Amino acid sequence: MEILTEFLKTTGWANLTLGNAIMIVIGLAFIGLAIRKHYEPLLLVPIGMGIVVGNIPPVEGMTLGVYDAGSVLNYIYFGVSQGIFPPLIFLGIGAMTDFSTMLSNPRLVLLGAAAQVGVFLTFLGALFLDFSPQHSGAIGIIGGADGPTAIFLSAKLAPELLGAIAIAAYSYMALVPVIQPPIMKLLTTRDERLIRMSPPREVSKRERMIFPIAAFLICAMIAPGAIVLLGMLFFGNLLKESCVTERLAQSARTAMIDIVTILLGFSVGASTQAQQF
Amino acid sequence: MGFHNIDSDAIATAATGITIVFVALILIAIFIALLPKILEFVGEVFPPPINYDAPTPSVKTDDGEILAAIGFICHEIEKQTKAKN
Repeated sequence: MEILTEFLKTTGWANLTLGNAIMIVIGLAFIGLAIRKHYEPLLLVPIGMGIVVGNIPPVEGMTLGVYDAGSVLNYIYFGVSQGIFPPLIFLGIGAMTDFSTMLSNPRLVLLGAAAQVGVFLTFLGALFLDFSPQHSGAIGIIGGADGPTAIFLSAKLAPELLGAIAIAAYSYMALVPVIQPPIMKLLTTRDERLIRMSPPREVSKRERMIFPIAAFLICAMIAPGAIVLLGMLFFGNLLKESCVTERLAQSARTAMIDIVTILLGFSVGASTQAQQF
Repeated sequence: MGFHNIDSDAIATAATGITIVFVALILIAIFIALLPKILEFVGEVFPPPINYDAPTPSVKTDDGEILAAIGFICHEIEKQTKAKN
């Protein structure tokens, strides 16, 4: 009987806190949104399941959770906390991206500046809410709707906020398809939305090959701190455009990015233990 | 919490950040706009090598005749097999 009582003390039910229960419900909501509404299922399913797994109450004396040194989840989370996964995701994104439209119309590059408005407004908003400048810098990236960069920068500037920032960034990214349409309708007329864009000019293979190298050099010389992310992004694109490394590009944009997304999403989700989050 | 947290340093940091990003994007846009002209100039200075290889002679094949022969042989073999059975 004593053994049974001891066992019952170690069950999840006995140790479940209100925080854990709320987080499990949030995780289930993420999974539900992904499956029912198709909101970024590739991100929300791993993150949602990670939240559920990470919030099963820890058993005393056993190294199981993300924050327990030596546990399996801790090893997977190493890729997040040390900023290893985001550059690998950027490699895959680079191998997926076709810059032809942008190369045919260079003014489109300046649309990228629009994201900066979100970044710096969020930065100022975080300062307003009494976060430190470092924390605000990491939080600001959420405004750019860029999950991997938000994680990468949080690992450097605000490791203690990494889980919260990652969840916020990916949730925001998942909600973009919901937020965008009403704003687009608000800011444009029906006639403007019906404009047929003229087809872009033909971009030569040499232009597409030179672009990743030149763009990397321009950006890296201005902001050397970003060489890891930029280098991987443009390296991935060079693999795609060089036409001689198709096999590597194929691996980067399929198997590799999928594996990293699974590991990143799941471990970020598992890092939201109510006791630490 | 409050606007007093957003001091001149914070505004300066945000403004500097936006400026750095804009400068990088403008430089990339200028480079992309100039790239076709640069490639055209490079092409004039270093023209692409002329390929002097003789064109591959077209090979006349007798595929139709070969297929007809194979078909005939298969037909004969089948006929002989049926005759034996």
